[in-house]
Amino acid sequence: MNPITKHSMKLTALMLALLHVPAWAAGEAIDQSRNVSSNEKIDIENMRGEVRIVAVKGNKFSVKGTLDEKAEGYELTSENGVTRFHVKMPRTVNSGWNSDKQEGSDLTIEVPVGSELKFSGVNANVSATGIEGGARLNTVNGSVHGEKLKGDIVLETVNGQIDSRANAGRLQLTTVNGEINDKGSAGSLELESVNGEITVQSSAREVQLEVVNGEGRLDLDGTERLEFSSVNGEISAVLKNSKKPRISASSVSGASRLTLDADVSARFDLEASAGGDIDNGLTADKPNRAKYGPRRHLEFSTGNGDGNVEVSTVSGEIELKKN
Amino acid sequence: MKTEQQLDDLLLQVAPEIAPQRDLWPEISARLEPRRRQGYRPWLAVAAAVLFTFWFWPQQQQPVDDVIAQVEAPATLLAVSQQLQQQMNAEQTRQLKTLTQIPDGFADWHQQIAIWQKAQTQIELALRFEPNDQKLIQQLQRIQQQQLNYISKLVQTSELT
Repeated sequence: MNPITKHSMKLTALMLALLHVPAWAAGEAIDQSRNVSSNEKIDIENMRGEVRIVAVKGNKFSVKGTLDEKAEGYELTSENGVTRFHVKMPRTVNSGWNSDKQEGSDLTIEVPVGSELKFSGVNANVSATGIEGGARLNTVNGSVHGEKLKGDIVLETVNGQIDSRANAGRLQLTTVNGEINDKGSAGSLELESVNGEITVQSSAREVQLEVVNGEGRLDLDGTERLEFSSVNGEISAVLKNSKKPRISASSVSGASRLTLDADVSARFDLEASAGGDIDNGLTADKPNRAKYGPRRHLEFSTGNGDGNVEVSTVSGEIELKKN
Repeated sequence: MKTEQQLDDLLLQVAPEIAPQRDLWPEISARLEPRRRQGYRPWLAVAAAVLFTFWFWPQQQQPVDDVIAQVEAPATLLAVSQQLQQQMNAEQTRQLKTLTQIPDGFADWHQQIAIWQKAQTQIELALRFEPNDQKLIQQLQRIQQQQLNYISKLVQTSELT
């Protein structure tokens, strides 16, 4: 075989190999970057795997790591202040995505500090740090971690844990079956879970919490307005440095426990409609029982009665304590 | 047999008026007097009713309102609640029919719905005692909204996975 023929055959074999192996083969590495604006809108979609998004100084978007082994490529565009990075997945593998949660992309993405982030995933764990233009992180079966985020912040999953650290702005943390842990948040905080447990250490001015069967433990500093509700769950809230809070709480058969400053100034209206208990450890006032029916009711005031505390239950428990 | 003409002639001979043989007025008057006295009674009854009404009005109005509220309000609220529940069940059935499989985390959705329905029953029971309690009504609405959100999330998750 002459050298020219041999060389041609090698070239043909290489071309055939390239034709049969797609450019985005399993675990294909990616290392791309784009110049973007300081307040770029970033839209990321990655169905499976681990994604870490970090804010950095400078006006640059970059993505490094490996793509999902079942990905059919990716789309990366950057124009008019909007950067989109989508990992393309075949529609046919959707039903099998739950079979092996270890599979998927492994990506580290850098974005400008002032950017506004939106992330969507399904079987993906996502974390975002230091983004100040707002962040919306959404997955289904996976955890969500947000740290030092600012602006409008939404962290949402269905079956997974939400971990929120030192975030400030308007926070909305939502899960169905997972846990929510929030520490060091400021601004306004909205939490929602059906079955999960919620643990909060926050100095948010406004806090709103809703659980069905889950439990909530709130450790709040300087909160002015608190609203919470449960069906069967138990919610315990400890408020410090809240001298005239506005609190509204309700449960069906769950327990609402409030611990307030000893010198709190507020009017209290506590009601148990049908068989519930009221335990007042704040003052010596005792609940009245209705002449007819199972209703119990307690109204009293402390200090100048500046704040307002309304707690109701149907057949659950209401407990007031002082710090 | 007398003809028709003869009968007409006889009628013409009869006097047009016949005077009574004695004074009948005293007897008639005696029968009319009791009727005149009875004629005042409706006016007395009306006056009494007016007095009675004004006398008892402030005391009677509140209990009547309460009774109406107790009888009608719970029935209305419960009816609205039940109607909403029916609509919600229909919506849930409609949405659940679109599912091909129940996604992770929702396997016990029947049990979850049962928890809400049990809670709803408790609230409805409390509403029978306190029919105008706005907090209870709000709780009822919240629970129904939670159910809708849950089913919606279930369907949405099923579509994504």
